[in-house]
Amino acid sequence: MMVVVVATVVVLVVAAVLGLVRLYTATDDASVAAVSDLLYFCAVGIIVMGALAVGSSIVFDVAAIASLVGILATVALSRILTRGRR
Amino acid sequence: MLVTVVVGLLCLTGAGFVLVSAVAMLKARDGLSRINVLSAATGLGLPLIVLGAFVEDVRTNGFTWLDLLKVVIAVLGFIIMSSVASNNLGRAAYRSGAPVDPATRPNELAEEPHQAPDPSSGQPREGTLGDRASWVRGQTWCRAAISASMTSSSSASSRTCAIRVSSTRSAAAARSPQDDR
Repeated sequence: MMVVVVATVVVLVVAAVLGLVRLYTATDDASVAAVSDLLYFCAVGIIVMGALAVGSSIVFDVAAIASLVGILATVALSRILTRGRR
Repeated sequence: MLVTVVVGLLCLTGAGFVLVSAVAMLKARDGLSRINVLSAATGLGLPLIVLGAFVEDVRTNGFTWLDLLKVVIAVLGFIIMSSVASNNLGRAAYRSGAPVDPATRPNELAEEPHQAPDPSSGQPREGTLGDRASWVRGQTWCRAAISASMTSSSSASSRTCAIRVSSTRSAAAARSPQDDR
């Protein structure tokens, strides 16, 4: 089981590093917003797998709350993109 | 053993979708495409990871309805919330004037909105067109369409676009500085 957790976390970290590379070479703000979303979901996946590895009971609480509040950051970023206009 | 294989398959497939999404972000050429390719991670990757975690949790701690409820909320939340968020972000990105890949065609956002004629006079309504940002963007689209139609010799569309360019140019010239706030 530990192998699965480690492999999944490694793949997610690789995805996050690729996202950071894209963030470093981004030319427009929309790309930055999209990549920041990707990093957020990578972090959620890593936290879920970590909680699964240590046998914590908060795995699904983390997943449910993260899925519900993830929209806030994206909507805030989209308001920043349009400089406050709708 | 079988459960471990199932969990590994679910979790690694989910992580693979996130990785594919990250690679696609490197290869996409504009911001709208990057927002689009993110949906592979949020719509399939994270729900699969959560499902794998649920299978493992059922094996170690047993099945409870509360956990199933949380998993259903998480999966539906990932799919629905990320769809709404991506829609909002894509709209904001387009309206903020982010550069769009020139290969994007048809780009209906850059065209004039279709107007139903006024029932009293039969003429198109005045003053109800979209905001001026989309006008200006339609102007650039029309320039691209003109240069394309010059090579493809479709004179009718180039004439339409020339008319539209002349009218949008005056609209852009009449833009007051207050609109840029």
